[in-house]
Amino acid sequence: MRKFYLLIFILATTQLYAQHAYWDAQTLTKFLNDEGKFEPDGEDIKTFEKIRAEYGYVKGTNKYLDAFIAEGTGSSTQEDAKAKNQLSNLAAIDFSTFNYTAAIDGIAQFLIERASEEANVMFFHRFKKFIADQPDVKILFPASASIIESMEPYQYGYLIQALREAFRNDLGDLINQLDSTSFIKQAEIDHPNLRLALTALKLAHQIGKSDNPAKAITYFGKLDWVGKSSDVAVKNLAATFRVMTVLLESIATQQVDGWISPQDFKRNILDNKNASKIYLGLLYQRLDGIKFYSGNPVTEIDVRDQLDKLTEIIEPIVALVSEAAGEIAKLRKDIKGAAKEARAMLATEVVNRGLELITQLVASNESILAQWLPPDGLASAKTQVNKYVSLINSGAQIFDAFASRNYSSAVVHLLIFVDQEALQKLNAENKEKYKGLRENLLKYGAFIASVAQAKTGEEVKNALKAVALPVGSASIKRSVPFNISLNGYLGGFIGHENITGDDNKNGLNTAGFYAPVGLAFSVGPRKKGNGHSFTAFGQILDLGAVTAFRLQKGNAEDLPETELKNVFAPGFYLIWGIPGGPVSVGAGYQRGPALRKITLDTEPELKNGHRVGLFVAFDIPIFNLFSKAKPY
Amino acid sequence: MKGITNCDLNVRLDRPSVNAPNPFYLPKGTEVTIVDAVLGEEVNRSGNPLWYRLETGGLVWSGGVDGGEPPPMEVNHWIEHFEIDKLWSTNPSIEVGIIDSGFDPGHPDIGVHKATSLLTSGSCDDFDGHGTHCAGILAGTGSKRISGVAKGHKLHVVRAYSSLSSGITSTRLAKAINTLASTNCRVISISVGVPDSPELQAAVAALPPNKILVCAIGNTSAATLLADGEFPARYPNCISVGSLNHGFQLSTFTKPFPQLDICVPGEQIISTNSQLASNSQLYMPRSGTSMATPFVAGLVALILEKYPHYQLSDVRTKLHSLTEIKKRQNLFAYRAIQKKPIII
Repeated sequence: MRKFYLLIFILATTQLYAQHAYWDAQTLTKFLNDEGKFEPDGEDIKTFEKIRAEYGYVKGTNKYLDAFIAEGTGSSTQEDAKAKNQLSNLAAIDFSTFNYTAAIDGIAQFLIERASEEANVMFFHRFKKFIADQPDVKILFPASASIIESMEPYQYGYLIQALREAFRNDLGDLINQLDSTSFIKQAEIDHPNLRLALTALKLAHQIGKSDNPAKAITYFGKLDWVGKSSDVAVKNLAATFRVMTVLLESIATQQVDGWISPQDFKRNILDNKNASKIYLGLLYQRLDGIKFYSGNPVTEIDVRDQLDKLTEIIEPIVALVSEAAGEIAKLRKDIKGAAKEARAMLATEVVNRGLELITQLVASNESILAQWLPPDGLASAKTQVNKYVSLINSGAQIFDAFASRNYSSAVVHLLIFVDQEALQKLNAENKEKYKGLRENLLKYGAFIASVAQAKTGEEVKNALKAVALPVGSASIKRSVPFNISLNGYLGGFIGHENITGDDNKNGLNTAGFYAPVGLAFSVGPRKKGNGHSFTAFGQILDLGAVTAFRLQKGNAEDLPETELKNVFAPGFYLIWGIPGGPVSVGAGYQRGPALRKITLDTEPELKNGHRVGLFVAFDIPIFNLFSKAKPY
Repeated sequence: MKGITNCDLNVRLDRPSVNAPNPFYLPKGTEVTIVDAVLGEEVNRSGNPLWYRLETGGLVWSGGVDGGEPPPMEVNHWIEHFEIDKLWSTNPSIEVGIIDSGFDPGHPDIGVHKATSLLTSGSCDDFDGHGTHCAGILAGTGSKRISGVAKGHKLHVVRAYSSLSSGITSTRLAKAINTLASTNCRVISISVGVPDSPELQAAVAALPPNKILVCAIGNTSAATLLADGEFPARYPNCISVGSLNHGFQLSTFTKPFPQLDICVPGEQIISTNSQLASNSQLYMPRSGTSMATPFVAGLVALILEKYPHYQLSDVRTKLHSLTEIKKRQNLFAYRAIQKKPIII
């Protein structure tokens, strides 16, 4: 279904093509006069001018077209024709089809949930540090990094919606952002052929987006395929793509699925001497600057020097795209009449057929290479073609995952691709330099993807709840000189306990959940920034048993009727707040609580006693009573 | 348009000859905005009498400004400058012909006596604008705005090509000359150039001696340098025409040809435009030897009007008498029309 919507979006934003050599050659043929020269008249002059300007044709520079141009002309100055840059801007994936209906229910339940959120805060602490340490992360996820950098980790609950949108935007442009990262730039130095791999990725991406997948290839005719590579095989492959682009553009129609049929091509171009020559003349304009390389020392081979060879290549390509176009058209027709459930499947087939066609076209680059390259150069070029087909397939997998909003899969595949094609190909020194990036990029990338992928508020932020204090308020006591709060902790304890009527009184005889609530008097760092905190905690209640019950997924309805005296557990603890997160370690003494264990099939266990012990727990302020501001 | 002063320039008041109150000059490197150009005195005998009127007021000598292009000027401006209107007769008898891309029959300043099309369509409508522009310079009626040099003379139009881009063959041009040869036209203005060919030679040679061919030598723009020819302008029995800029220096685009008979202003000339062309304005500027040629053809018509018995050699001599010899960067000499009023 997602692909169906994607397809609808694609159709709605179709860019119609205006100039194609196949059609233009036929149009120009109609302008020939009895002297065999172009002589458009009336409104046809504008058409003629448009075509001439489109191809950047200047008299005297194209032996094919010059034959049809009268030798003389008027003597007023004219603007030189300039070829238009056909390179389309590459738009990022559009995620506008997604439903932003996130909802945050905002109900705090138990300390368990809060503890979970405190873990999230810790995660954001690390994430923030990762961004600070790795500038490339800012490039890959600019919007997300900007938000995370400017927020305090404990604020993430408020910013989760903004983050979610930023994540999606960043993911949509992730492939394009790769080029700007320092590790890709470094990898290109260490591994010059990387540029080709990146274009494969982009090409696959574009195929999935395009209204007509085969036409996607035409967007890339003028891309930098070669980068810093001096590899002749890479340069030759790049040249074939340019040639292929020119050929495909020349035979496209203005319809979405439009490609001319082999029969029409033969009848209107190949079998018409003038049209055939004009067609080659128009291609001659388009092929300006495309060169193959061969020999030792390497010499340039200008494609235009042996342009007539193109006629041997173009026919099978016409057949290839025409066949695919027919199948895609049929699939689209089927979509219209299909049941709702079947449409998504058919839409997927459209995209897949396009990918298949692209693979065929890339493979058919071999035939282009074979026309211009001698056998020794051809072998290495063919290897590149095969590798490229493989790269395209990898790229297609990534696109497929993006298109179906399976961001996690997409990001994982993409980052693996990047890891294999770029990071792993760094030299030893640079590998070490980017070690931190390699180790963490996948983790944080996956996190971003999972948030972006979430469809509901529950998925986005399962633990985001509105309570007395925002999540992460544990950091307050770690960042101000003095603080008083009604505080909770959730964790585990171990200690020595004396139970009335119980004989086991030796050593560390007890352990379990620890979930106290009490008053916390804390002193924090006096200098700017977060640090240690030391708390004197006057405990009032201990909800450990209830917490343990809820952790076992017990329902609130199953809780036994509990009196306050059963959870009353006065005590005193000294607590160290560990910097950089909500985790605290404490030691102290307490009485009770009487409620020690809840099960579904037995009566609650009530015992009186007291204990000394140690605990490790998440620090969960419930209500902040007083904070002294920092002296700066 | 913008320009940069290349030296300290005195600013003149309303006329180039009047200095502004001292001290008032623009130091070298000042950016200026030019809104108009006028002819005035030469500076240091430079041969350049063109002055730029500035947006901020006042005039500066054009030779002291780099990058400034002269603003367009109407044909009428040059007619006034050379006092050509004083040469017009009330009932002119000399008929003039023009071979070009046709004319706009709906243009208020274009009046055509006879029109012939050599195109398959048979239409004389000008979809390019080049022909209408040249026709206006040659014989604009002045009904609305543009007066041609040979205002009031009967105009024959031969539409021989459809657009500058598609061009014209030697064969077609020869056919056009033959067409006008059989009319009463005494002057034929040809603002196109083609390569030499036997047909063209034959057509030109067949013209009676009292018919004068006035031909553009052609431009060296990138679009035409490699392609178009310089014939019939290079034939000895044609009047060859080059273009001058507003400062009466040879236009840089004028093709080098030492035997140019005369050069007249041909840059940024505002004349009639065809509303059938892609740029459908009624008037527009164009530059080229194409623009200079109908101007000279008009002069030839005026000469013949006064001296109907004149033949080619007489006309050439008369035209030469209106010129002065200048040199183009020591490369070759050319005959530039003198700046003073024309007396024939």
